[in-house]
Amino acid sequence: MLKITGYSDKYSAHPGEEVKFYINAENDDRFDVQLVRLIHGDTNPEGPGYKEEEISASCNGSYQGKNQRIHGGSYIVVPQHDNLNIESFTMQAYIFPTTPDKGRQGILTKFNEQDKKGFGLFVDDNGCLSVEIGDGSQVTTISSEKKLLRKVWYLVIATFDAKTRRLTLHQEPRVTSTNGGLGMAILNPIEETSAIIETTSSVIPASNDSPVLIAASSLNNRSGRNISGGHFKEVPEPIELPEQTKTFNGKIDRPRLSNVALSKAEIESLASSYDECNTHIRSTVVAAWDFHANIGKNISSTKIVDTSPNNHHGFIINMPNRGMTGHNWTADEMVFHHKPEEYGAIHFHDDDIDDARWDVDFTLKVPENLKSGVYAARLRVDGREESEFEDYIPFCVKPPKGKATSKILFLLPTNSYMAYSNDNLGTNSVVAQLLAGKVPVLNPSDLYLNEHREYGLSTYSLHSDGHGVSISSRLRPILNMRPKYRHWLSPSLWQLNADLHLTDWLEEKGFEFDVLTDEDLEHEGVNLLNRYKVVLTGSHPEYSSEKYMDALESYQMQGGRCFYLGSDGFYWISEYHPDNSNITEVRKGEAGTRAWTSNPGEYNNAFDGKFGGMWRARGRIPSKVCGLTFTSYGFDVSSYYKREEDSFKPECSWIFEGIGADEVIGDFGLVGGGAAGLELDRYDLEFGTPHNAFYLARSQDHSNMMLQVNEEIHFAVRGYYGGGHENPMVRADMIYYKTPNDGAMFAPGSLAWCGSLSHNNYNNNVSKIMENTLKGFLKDGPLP
Amino acid sequence: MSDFSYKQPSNVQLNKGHKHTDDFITKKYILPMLRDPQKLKSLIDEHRATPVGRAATRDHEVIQHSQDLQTLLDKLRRGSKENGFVTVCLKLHEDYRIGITTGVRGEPVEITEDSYSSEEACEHAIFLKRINRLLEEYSGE
Repeated sequence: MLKITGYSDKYSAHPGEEVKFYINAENDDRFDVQLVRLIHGDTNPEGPGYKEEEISASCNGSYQGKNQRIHGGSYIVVPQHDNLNIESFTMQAYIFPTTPDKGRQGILTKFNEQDKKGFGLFVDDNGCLSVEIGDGSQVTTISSEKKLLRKVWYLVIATFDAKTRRLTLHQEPRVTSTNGGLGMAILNPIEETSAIIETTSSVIPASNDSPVLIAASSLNNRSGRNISGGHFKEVPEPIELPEQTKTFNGKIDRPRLSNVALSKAEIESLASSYDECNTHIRSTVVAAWDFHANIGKNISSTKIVDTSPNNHHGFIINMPNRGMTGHNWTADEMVFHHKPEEYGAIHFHDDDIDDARWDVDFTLKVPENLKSGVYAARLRVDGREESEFEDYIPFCVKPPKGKATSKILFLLPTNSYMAYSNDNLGTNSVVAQLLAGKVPVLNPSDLYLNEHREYGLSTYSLHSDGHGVSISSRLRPILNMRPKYRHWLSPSLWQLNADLHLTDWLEEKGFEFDVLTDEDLEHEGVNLLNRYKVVLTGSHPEYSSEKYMDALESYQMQGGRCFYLGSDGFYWISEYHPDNSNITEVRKGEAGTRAWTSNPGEYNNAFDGKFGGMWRARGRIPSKVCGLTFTSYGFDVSSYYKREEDSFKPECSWIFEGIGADEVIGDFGLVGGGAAGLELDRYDLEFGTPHNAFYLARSQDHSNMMLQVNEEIHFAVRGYYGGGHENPMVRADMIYYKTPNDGAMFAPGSLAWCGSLSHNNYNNNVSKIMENTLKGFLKDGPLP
Repeated sequence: MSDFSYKQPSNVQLNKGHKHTDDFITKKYILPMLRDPQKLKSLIDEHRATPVGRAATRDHEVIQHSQDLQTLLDKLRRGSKENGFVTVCLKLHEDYRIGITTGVRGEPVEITEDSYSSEEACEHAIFLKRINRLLEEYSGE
């Protein structure tokens, strides 16, 4: 099991800036830190082998480590206030449980699980609604003794009158034709899951210092971890978080807390709206949280609004999903800000994570003259190189602010790295080996992630309740974004480690280059790209924001020259949290080659409010910005290219100088044994490929594991159903086109392309095509 | 407790549709191949030679599994993660082990003792174990 893990506060820094590192030493071991420049991350003995360069830095040295844990699972915290310590109460909410059988889960609690003081509404260990009252020595618990059903909306209520000691519990399904999304509409017999319980409790809730939690209960009232700033910019003063436990899976809508035992009619009135209640009801209300109160214009907010005058506002912790269909969703509107009152739900998950909130262990001040590139803090326990004793925390060093130090920019696709973070699919997914065409190969870090679910998931994963993961934060160790890491989906590498194939080749060929990230482009826009003659993408820049798309398109229009060196690029709409770009979101729509599908009515992003899913659905299919669109995928073996007629035209022949007319191109490489593999793109005149593009080469002889993308299969029919042996849509197209102001795009259309660059000591036809094109693009003046 | 918890669950509640259809497919298309010694040997030989396949090169076309082996592999790979197989790499390019998953999130992968020198060798060892497991599962039918 891993001895050390860590993360940094940022993915990129200018010389002179500081990067903070947060480290978990599993057994409180000492550890060594060494700054390294990452050159080649592929350990395959058939290639050049692993390469890094040790760099002098002030942070290098030995440190005493400590174990640092992640407190995963989303909930709402409402800070402790004396007004919340009440003896009589009405707790009410609409709930939509998604794992009613997982065990005890807090719905609305002011309860400490250790000293048993307070009160709370729970799903109990038997999957039934329950209420608990504790005075510190005794606890009264009553259960509905009727199991809650998965994906059914309920009105749940608990009332207690401290004078009469009357305690009630109410579990009432509220099923409509639409409100369950894909859940059932015909619930029969309804009595099986309905309950009204009345009893008495000799126990009166004791006052406590616990905050009110929604979707969790308090294990410890204080954790020493605070929220403020960033995505908590609306927190007026830092709020100390509790240590939460018993986190709830599912949706909650319109929770309320009152200081008397209200009648059912009063509860129904309050459930609808605080403002529409009569004076008597309003005078009893302690807090009435409307999750939809601020989503119309500020959906990305982490603030939860108390609509009563008491201002017991809360904050969402660990980024549950907002903009979710509520108990009253009619499907008349599909967009949350068109009818926010029908989107009053938040979907909580016990494996959500927004920030590990670890203590800083060391800080790097980036040396002033350090050249731009991909670097990492290398951590070792006992000086050992084995993967269990070693971790790397990658980041990039940027050129000095506002400057370029090379003509070439490599744009590190960090947004896509985040999308694939900590996927756990090798152990979770039943389709993993069908996709990969082999049994998943797990590394020690995969085994660690499997046992440490608090490290969070990827946007390819399902939460523990089956709901798709749409939010990814980089403020946690991302253990599959590491040099040396071999990915279960690929025959070898994926994302960051695969992209080091490209940086290694640039270094070997003597091309100077700067490195910046997707996040930098988000902040600076096309001006950042315009500092460079040539921009290179990574092997799989699949996730892009609207500003990214704008910048990439504008750069080409303004004379920029691009290499799109991957496949399945610019595919998903992925936006940054507006107040914290360490966190991204993607909604996986109703179409696309995807791991999950958004639930009905939940297609719009919470981070910018716009329609989520595939860029093609918003009129920006990838072929409009790079000439190619995702066409097929298969992860067993790769293949080769052959030249097309256009490659011999005077406008293009310079790209193939030194390449024979009938030469097999790229029948070698470290990713599946060929330059065309894993995921492939094709041009398509119907989908916006520039009409003057040249068709340079085309891959062929793919295996039947290579299948066409499902978003383009309207009917699954033989002839176009199978893979490389029968479907002409299964191919990688290598294209080149010119853009205004002497700009250009070169795109080989394969995710495996860069894995072939180092073959035969970097002397091969893939390397030659790249070198010819890059040198040509670097020349001033018009292209041939 | 809810009344329905005392009832005999229906096959809808037990979600038997997939299992029963998969049983039919297995009995009709998979087991006859595995119960024919000559056919079984040829499938195993083919898998041992190329557990994953080989990329096409200038010297040979793509090497991929025969239709029968692919059908068998599809069935084996469709299996549940409960008591499922993974390959565990303990040392890159040197030490690969068979891992057993429980299908429950968070529960450790059991790492078995036998060491294989490559991913492909481990892949083939898992293939053989899966065939034996499938034959045992249907041994009474």
